[in-house]
Amino acid sequence: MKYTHTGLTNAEVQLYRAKYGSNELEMANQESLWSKLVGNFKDPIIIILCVALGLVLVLSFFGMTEWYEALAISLAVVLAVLVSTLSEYKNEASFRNLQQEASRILCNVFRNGNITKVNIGDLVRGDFLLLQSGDKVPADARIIDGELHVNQALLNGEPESIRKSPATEPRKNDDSPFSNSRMVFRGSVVDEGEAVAVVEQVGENTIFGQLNRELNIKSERLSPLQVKLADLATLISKFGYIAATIIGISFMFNRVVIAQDFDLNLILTYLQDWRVLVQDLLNAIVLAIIIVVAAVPEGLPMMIAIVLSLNMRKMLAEKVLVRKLLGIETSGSINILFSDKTGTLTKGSLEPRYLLSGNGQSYMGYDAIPEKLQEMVRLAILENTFSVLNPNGEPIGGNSSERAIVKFISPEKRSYFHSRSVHRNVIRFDSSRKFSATEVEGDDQFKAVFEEPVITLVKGATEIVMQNCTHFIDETGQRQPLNKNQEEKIMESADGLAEKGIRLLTLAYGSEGIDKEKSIPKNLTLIGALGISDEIREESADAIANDFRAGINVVMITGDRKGTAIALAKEMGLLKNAEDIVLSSAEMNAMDDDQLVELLPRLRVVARALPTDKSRMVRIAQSQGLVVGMTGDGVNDAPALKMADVGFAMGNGSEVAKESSDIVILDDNFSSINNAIRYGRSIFKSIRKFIIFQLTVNLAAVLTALLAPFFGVEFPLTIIQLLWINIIMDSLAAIAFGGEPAISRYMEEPPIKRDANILSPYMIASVLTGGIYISVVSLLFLTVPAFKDFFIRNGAFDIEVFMAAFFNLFILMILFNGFNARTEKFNLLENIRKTRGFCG
Amino acid sequence: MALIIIIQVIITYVGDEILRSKPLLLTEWLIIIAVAFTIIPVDMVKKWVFGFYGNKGYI
Repeated sequence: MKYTHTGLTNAEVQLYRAKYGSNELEMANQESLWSKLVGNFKDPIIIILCVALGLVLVLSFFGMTEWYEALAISLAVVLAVLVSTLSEYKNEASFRNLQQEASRILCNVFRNGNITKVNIGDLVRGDFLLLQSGDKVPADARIIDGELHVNQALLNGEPESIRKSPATEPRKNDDSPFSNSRMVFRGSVVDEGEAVAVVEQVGENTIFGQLNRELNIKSERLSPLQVKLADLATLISKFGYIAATIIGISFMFNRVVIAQDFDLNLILTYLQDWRVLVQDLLNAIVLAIIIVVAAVPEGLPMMIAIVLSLNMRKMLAEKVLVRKLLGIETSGSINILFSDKTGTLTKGSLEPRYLLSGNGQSYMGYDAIPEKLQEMVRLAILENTFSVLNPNGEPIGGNSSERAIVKFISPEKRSYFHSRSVHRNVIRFDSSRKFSATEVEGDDQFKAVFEEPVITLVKGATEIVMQNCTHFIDETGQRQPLNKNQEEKIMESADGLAEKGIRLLTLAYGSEGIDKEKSIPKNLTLIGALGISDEIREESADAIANDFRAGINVVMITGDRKGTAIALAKEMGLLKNAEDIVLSSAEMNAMDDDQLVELLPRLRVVARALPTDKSRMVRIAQSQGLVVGMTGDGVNDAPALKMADVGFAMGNGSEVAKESSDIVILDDNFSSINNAIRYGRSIFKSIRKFIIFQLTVNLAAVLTALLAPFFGVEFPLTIIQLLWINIIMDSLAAIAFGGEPAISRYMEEPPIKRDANILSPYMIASVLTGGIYISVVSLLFLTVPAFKDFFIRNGAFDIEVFMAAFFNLFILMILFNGFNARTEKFNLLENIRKTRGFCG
Repeated sequence: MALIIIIQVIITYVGDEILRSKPLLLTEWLIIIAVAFTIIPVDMVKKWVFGFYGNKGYI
């Protein structure tokens, strides 16, 4: 326990918040509903509709059309704009809110005499922050205790981290506030160290807050899928314009030539009546415009935002937080997934089960250890940790192993732990050093146990610490020389335990201090080794099997020794075949890229991995054209997360890792990564289904309107009817298809190719089948006399009833085809209950 | 989708001239439903044909 501060009381927090403001930042670039509305009125389709409206108004002014036609068009214009603006706005807003809510950042603060986790928005001026490596600095604050290396790249672009401490150092000769060595600033990242800092500026008054206001954060660029959809929409629009021109011309041809029975004289008489001619010409233009409106799928590029926001809540329920749109889209294409072991594939609860002492004795649980040794273990753990205890004795902060080791001590023995020892120097644990150390100038209690005023406590990987051990503590607490035989025995049992998936973490101490290079001290005395086991998550084996079926290669990355890694990988079903390969980091580094490329398809486990290995593996996999998923939680993982096609950060991980990621896995669970991939695939499929549905409608409407005049039906669908069809297709149907659930069947297919065409052969066949069939049935219905016999009113055929029936027939066919589009299976009602919005 | 159907039926009865609509009798509804429904078996045939193409049979 390094720091204790009382911090502010709740009353003070309220007072300061009222006085100095809160730490919330306003979101810079929220497009208002109004500006969206104006933007949507500029949509080309809307402009075209307005032209149509103008023409129709002119016609009705001369009494050539009914007044309601103009009204209906204006209604359609307003409705189309309103519906699309509202749904876009609502979906975007809910997406952003959920994202913000779930990505709230917590920080450690001293309040009411305890250390607590507080949402950064709730910080006030005067709060005492505890900053540790991997934290994001939540406000501008002055360091009062400890030392930090912070990276201020976000603020000033400097990539190197600089030292910050309470000591007043002469200011460098520049005006930049960032060179102040006592202040840390919101938005910077703690690379190393630990410190307590007092908040001086909050919210908009921080430098970051001011920048944020000025900068107006850039909006996310279009994702490849959005680009593909926009391209498709443009292509179809062209087709629509051509079809509209043909329909317009054929309408005129019908009027001028066919309606005059191909009689030249009649044609000439027709042409002489300019009033009729102009009216027909204007009608042809309006018709063409409406065909354009019906054919252009203006809702298509919007589709992905709708699908995503409809799925956001469901994904959050399955612990998937999408930070970047691109991430969820690409996750459907992942074909190699590198996953951390600890906390992701395993529970990460890391239970230390027993202590192995230097003479080979093992003690099950803390209470079984003899008194003197027990006290040594306790101090060696509590004085050499980056975890901080809250009043209940629960460890906060530090890494997962540190928290686990603290938990080895019985709760009552840790909750009242107070020490006046001074920590002169520390080495933080990191995965390349594989040990941590603290140089302690002990208080009386400490000196009584270790019998020396200043000692260095070391804990770390057994093979690293054991190398430097010369003595050990026996069961009576006496220091004894360690002979080769005993050392070998300990290493042997470490190997044996590794085969069972149990990791040993060794505690030792020495009288040498910590040197400048931060190398491991020599002449250590072994206190004991803690056997830590990490249970595999129950879901992991299934999830891994699922991934292999889905054509995704899973590679486990672990800091464990090879033996431990193999044992765990076998248990998870990751190692099944004789050809599967397990590499240690050292073996990997001995190979060149070409060798690794060759092994990659069979690689299953990387043991004793270093953070740099991750980046290399991402690079090599990408060079083979693979779409790479990578998990990470530490500061060191950030480069690999950024580099990977989809970076998954863990909810419990550092803020820096989350910042670099595309998707945050809130429960750290490997099976939730699977959910993300399943959603990625399903969203892509939902969009394809919607395209099938919409294109079928477009094709059917255009074909029917084009061909019917040749069979004597001038307007099979009126302008207003076409507009109505257009509205259902673009808005309501998008919602219906967007609500499709994430279907596990899609995990049995190979990954979607990243450059896959948005139109698959299946889709083209579906659109052609549906579109052509609907138009053929429409034409048959309109022309075959047998149908007309059913629509009798007052004993005679009623054309108005017949045409109303035809309109309903057309709509019903479209709706029935919606069920066809839902699935490629024969069971059209598959998952229909889970599909929010399809029926309701 | 149900929403679309409900609106559609309402329009049929109140749309009148604007949507060129007229109330339909039950038998007339049954006829158009039956005719429209044929699109489902037709699409089934397409799915069945596509079933032979392995991976290409996916949406």
